[in-house]
Order: sequence, then C-alpha cells, then structure tokens
Amino acid sequence: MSSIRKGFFVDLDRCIKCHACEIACRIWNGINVPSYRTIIEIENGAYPFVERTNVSIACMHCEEAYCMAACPAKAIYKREDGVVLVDSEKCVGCRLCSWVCPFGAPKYGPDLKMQKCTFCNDRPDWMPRACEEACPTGAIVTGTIDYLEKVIKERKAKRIISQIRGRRALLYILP
Amino acid sequence: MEVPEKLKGARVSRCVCGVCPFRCSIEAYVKDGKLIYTRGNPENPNTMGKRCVKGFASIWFAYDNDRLKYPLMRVGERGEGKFKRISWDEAFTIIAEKLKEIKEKYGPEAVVSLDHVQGCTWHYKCFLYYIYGTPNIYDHTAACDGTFTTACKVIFGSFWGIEDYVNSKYILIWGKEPFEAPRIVGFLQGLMEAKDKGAKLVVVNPRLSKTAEKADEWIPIRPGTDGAMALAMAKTIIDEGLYDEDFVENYCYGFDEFRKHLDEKGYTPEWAEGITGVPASTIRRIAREFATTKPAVSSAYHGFACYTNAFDAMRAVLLLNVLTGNVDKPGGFLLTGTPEGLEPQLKPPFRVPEDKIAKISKPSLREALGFHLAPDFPTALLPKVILEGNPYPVKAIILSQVNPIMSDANTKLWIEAFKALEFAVAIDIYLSETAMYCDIVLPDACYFERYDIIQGFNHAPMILYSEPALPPPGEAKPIYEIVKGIAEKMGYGEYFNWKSEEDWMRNMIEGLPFTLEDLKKKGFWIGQPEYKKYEKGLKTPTGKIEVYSVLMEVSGFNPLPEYKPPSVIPDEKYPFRLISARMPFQSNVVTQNIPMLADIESENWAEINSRDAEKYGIKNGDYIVIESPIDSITVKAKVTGGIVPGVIAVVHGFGFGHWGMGKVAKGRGAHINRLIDTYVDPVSGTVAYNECKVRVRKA
Repeated sequence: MSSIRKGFFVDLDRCIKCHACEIACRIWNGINVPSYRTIIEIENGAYPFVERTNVSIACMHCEEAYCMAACPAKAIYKREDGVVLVDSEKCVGCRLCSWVCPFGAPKYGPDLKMQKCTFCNDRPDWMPRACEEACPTGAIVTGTIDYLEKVIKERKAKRIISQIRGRRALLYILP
Repeated sequence: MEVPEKLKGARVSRCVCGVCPFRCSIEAYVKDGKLIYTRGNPENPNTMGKRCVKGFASIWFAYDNDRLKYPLMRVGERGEGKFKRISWDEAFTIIAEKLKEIKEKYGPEAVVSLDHVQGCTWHYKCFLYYIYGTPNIYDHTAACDGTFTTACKVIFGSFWGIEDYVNSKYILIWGKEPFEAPRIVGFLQGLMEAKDKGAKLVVVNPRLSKTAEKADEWIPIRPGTDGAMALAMAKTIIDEGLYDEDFVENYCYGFDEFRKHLDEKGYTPEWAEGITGVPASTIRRIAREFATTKPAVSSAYHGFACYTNAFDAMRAVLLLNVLTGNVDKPGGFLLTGTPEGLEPQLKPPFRVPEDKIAKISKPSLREALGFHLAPDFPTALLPKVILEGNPYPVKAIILSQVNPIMSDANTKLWIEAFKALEFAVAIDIYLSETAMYCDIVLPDACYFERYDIIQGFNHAPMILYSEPALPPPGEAKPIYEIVKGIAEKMGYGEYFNWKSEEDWMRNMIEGLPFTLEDLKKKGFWIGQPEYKKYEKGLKTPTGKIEVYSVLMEVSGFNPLPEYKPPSVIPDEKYPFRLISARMPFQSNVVTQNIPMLADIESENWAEINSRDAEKYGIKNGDYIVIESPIDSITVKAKVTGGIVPGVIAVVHGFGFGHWGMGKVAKGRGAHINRLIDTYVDPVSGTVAYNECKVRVRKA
C-alpha cells in the first residue's frame, strides 16, 4: 500500500550546518517567528582523528506524535497526510508538548503559544518546502514516505533511528 | 501550476546579489511594496534556483531601520559619529568643491577611491578615471583574490580559474572553503554531486573546516607552509614519471627548468615533512593519487593566500594541474577571462571624447610602489602612504560600500590615517566604522534597489542584469545618480543626461552578441564555454602555459616557484599563530546587522586545540584574551580537536566587534584585525592577514 504520509529525510553526509534552511524557513513563515529548526554539530575523536556531524532538525511529524497525546487543550492535530499542526486558538501555552518532544520542535513566540514547522502548509505540493528549496547541498529532502524510502535506497543511506521508545518516529539516516 | 497565496500578485524582479562579490542571479518577489521572497534564478547555471544563507538573510536590507536614509555631514570630531542631515544639493556642492580644490592643490592622484567589486561601480570608476583623472581606483582584490588572480595571470594568461568539481574524480582543496564560505551555490552543488559519483575529496587545511569535515581525507598542515607540500608533490610527480608528458611537451613553457629547479632545491617529501608536519609518505601518496586519477583538480583560495609567501605556493598548487594535464578540460581547472578581466568586456556607461579624457600624469600608487604584476594596490599600505606622503600626497578618499577600518589589517593605523586626511566621503548603506571617520556620508541603494550590468563568474562568458525590486529607503540613491549629481556640480553633466537607465545600459553592452531585451528576459546572457584554449595559444608572453614565468622574470621576481617561510614565526613570547576563518552565515563586514543571522551566533569565537587549551586551563566557552605585539582582544574559546596545535583560529574575525553599522551589529564579538600588523605579499599585494603571532590567557 502506498503511503500518503509525508516526512523529512536529512542526509547527515551532506549537511554543512550553513543554516540556509533555518533562514529560508524564517523568511517564508515570518521574519519575527522563532526559528523552527534546530541545527547542531557533534564532534567526536581527538586531534588529528576528528569527525564532525551536523544535523538540522525541525518537527518530524511523527507517526504517533507525543505532543498530540500530551496536549491538554487538544490544540495539536494530525492531518490526513501525516502533517502535525497546532491550532493556536486552542493552545494555552502550557508547554507540555516541549516536555515530550524528542526533537525540541515546539517553539514559543511572543504570544507564548506553541509554534512549529507546518511543513510549509501554505505551499502547493509542486513547490519544495522552504528548507528543502534553500538547502545548497541537497541534505534536506521532503515528500511522501515512499518517495523518501526510494531516496534513502539511492543514496545507500541507513536509518539510525526509526523507532523512538517503540514507536516509528523519524527518518534520520546516517551514511 | 498553483501559486501559493503569499506569492499571488507579486511582481518578480531579477537582481544580482551583492552580499559577496560572486554575483548570483536571483529573483525577488515584491507584494504590496514589501520584499517577501527571493530565490536563485532557476535558469542560471551558477544558481539553479538556489542561493546561500547570507543571500536569503539579506532580504533584511529592505526592512532595516538602521540603513542610511539621508545625506549626512560630520559635525563632531572624526570617528565620534556626530553628523547632521543635509540635502543632496548641499552634499553634491561640498564634494564638487572639495574635489576641485584638492585637484588644484595636489593633483588628481591625491584622491584615492576604494570600492567593493559587488557591482554598479561603473559610473563611479569611469568618472574618477576618465574625467577627474586619478589613477588610484582600487577595489577589494588585495584583501581577497589577488594571489589567485595574479597566479592565473602569470601561468595561464587568464583572469580567473574555475574548478570543474562536478566532472572531477579527484578534488584537492587547499585553504579554500566552498562549504564554509559558500559563494556560488552551483559550485557547491557540483562538489556534492561529484562526491556522490565517487570523486575523492582531499582538503589540506590547518582547521577541520566544514569542507574538511566532508572530505575523504583531511590533511592538517602547519599554517603558511602549503607551498612546501605542493612543491614536494610536484617533485614526486615528476621524479616518478607520473606527469603528462605530451601535455608539458606541447603546451607548456619551461618544464625542464622547473624539474631542474626542484632537484637543485631538494624539494623532497622528506624535506617538506619537516616544514609542514605532514608525513612524507602522505605527501607521496597524495601526489601519486592526484597524478594517476583523471580528471583531477587542485585549487586554493583566500585562506591559503594570507601569508607573504603565498604567491609561489599558489603557483605550485596550480602547477599540479599543469603537470598532470588537468587544465581547461572537463573535471579539471577551467580557465576564464583574459588578464584584464572576465569576458566579455563591458564598455563604459558613457563616452568621453578622446580629447576630453583626463591626462594621467603620475603613476598609480600600485605602480609607484613597485606592484607591477598585482591586479590592485595593496590597500593595507594606504595608511602609511597617507601618513608619510610617499610617493606623493594622498589627501582624500572616496569609499563605495567598503569599510577598510574594519576589513583591513591594522585598525589603529587606519584610524590614524583617516584622521590625517583633508577630505573623505563614504557612500554606503550603513554608517560603517569607516564612514564615521568621513566628512560626508551618502546613503546608497542596496543590490535590489538599483539597475546594473555586470559579468558573471562562469567558465562560459556570462553577463548578468539587475533591476530594482524596490526603491531605496528615504532619500537614498543608486550610485549612478550620486555620481551624476557630483559630476553636474563639477560641470560634467553632459555625460550623464540619460533619459532612462536603459540608455547607459545599452552603452555598456554595445557590440556584444545580445540585446538589452534578451538580458531582461532571463536576467542573464551566457555564451558557449570553450575548452582546451591552450591549443590556440594563451595570453601569456610565450602563448603557452608558463611553468617558468616570463612575466615574473621581467618583473624582477623568481620565474620559478620557490618555498620561503612565512614572515612572522611564533616564538617563546608569542607561541601561537593567529589565523582567521569563516562562518557560512556571515559575509565579510556586510551582514552583521541582520537579526536572523545574529540569532544563529551572537558572537564569534576562537578555536584552540584541546591539548593547548588544557595547558592553559581553558575550557570550552571560556573567554580568553588574545594578545599580539600590537593589541589585544577578548573572545570566547571553542576547544576542539579540529585544529593544528599551536594555532588559534578566530572565526569571522573581521566581521564581528563592530562599533558602528547598526544596533544589531554593534558590540558583539571580537575584531581581530586590530591584532594584525601590516604585511603584504610582494608580488600580488594580497594582505597577509595570517602573519600574526599571539599569546593567550584566560580572561
């Protein structure tokens, strides 16, 4: 059965931590919103045998989203295509979602309500998401899970976490 | 196709990005008078719809309240930052009178102009050169590409070289950062694609830079010694018979002299190991791999060029391409432009009749100080020229979107020099540190607020077109309007009475195989790339690729590349070498007032090897004091295994520590150029930013 569920694939072999995804995201979603993406760098080893890995994370639109389950106001919901969204009318700003999210995706604006990646829900399907459109190295790929599985196979990548606490969560992969 | 609500009804303009000098063609979407979205021009091969993080963020220029909006006249002391608003008419009158006065008193060459090569300086340069008559018009070459362009000129007779990453199988990069200092995004994508196809990427760099992180092999090297490794590689390739015999026989001049020279000097891998810290076996292996994998490319750029010995090192690195026949072929080092510049050459925007062109009576400072081969005057030497009046008095400076007090070495000396000037004008979009030392400050348009025609950086000849997406803020004017205003007051209005900007743009592309309408349609024009240009003869004195450089010989330099140690060597008192590096999300001194970028890293940091840090009791995140023989700074430490011991790298050391520019930029991070004394490369005039020894302690 083909899936209409959508998601992100981040190729750690390509991410150079340039922050283009973050800035493009902020420009598209409003210059004054907090940044929806978290970009980190991990260093391993000692000189001269040192390696660094860069990771750019936003909301992973988990199959079973903890934030949804945790939200007392039922402000977080899942669209048919798997995209997790928040209804700011309902959000009470309690931040329980940030306690349970494994990726630090929930962010809070000046109104103290939760905001996060909307999978650029105001962009039509033919248009890449703002982060993917901006990524100069092709490290961020978005699309249906079937499509992402194909890309992963092509790039001979392997998944590092597909299960988080027993639930299928994300498609981060390590080369 | 469905258009997102946000972009419905938006007007699309094609502009050329001016955040760095590498000229990406972009599309800017304006709706209800607001710039809401930009992307790279999807049809342009250099951008392919992408642009870099700095370019995206520069959308802020349209929103920034710290932009200059009115002409200003200084009322306080130089540097105090006290100005009063004046009218354009007053500003033009003052500048015209002052320029006339200085010309009468000291001659036109007493006026020096500095600009940034990001474009739109044609009227300005042509006015100062053809009409006013000063030969001293300089750009930022000496702070950037001077070593590279001069090496391209003496070896290949070309202006520029482009690494054809996408088709290459072995990519050797020295002190050049496609990922850390992203310039043309298309090249970056090409490099990733090459890696996908199995190309090997080897990075020679004292730091584990973003490019080195992605490399198959990082070769940590002592800073400033790359020339030794490149020469030892050349010797290995020749000694082991791995060079392209046919290529050097038919298309190169002086190969036998080079071979003899390498033998006489004894440039063996063992010799290089002692200098570079790279094992001889590694040097030999890389040399063999490079020579036997085809096509391959070896290239270096600015980080590598920050030493007084960098010119010969650059030649040695580029000669590796020559020895292995990887020149102007797919996957190799592609040549572009003539020694005079990129192709096709543009014509001046206005024509001055032969008999009215100003006579240049004195040599330019560049020639007068003996930099005959350099493409540009080493601007780092300008403060000394101003203060000593040698070889002749320099009394006025005109700046167009440059900030030498921040971006050039030896901040204190620059400030002293500005204080000694009779007259200084800054044309800029912010009240930069240097503008604070000027008498008149004029508000400029930024890159999406003006028309322009400029060459692009590609193997094929390329011309780019830029149109305004928005009007400039307040009373700000594009630079061509500013030059027109000054020229009119000086009695030269006849050259500037265009009816619309199209008139002068048509003048610029006269004789070229396309029309202005063609340019407007796509935003650019691109010709056919030409490979193997050496078969038809190059623009060097011998017409061949010059391994032995005739130009160098007649200019009194060694025609063959040799290794010399850097000028400054760390010692007991100052045991570290200070180098500067880049962060991908800041561009020179241009982007620091953008809040989105300030959110990423609010200040810059100093990288120090974990072993060195342990010795000094420095922990990650501690503030440290870095002292050079001339000044000191305080900066946050980042302890890492990704740097050669004995080296401290301050990341983006001249874009932080602003005390002017704007609210966001001010007072964040440390400015390292105040630590660096004035050193320049004797051949290319490039500023040797890394010739600096320092000591550190916990703050």
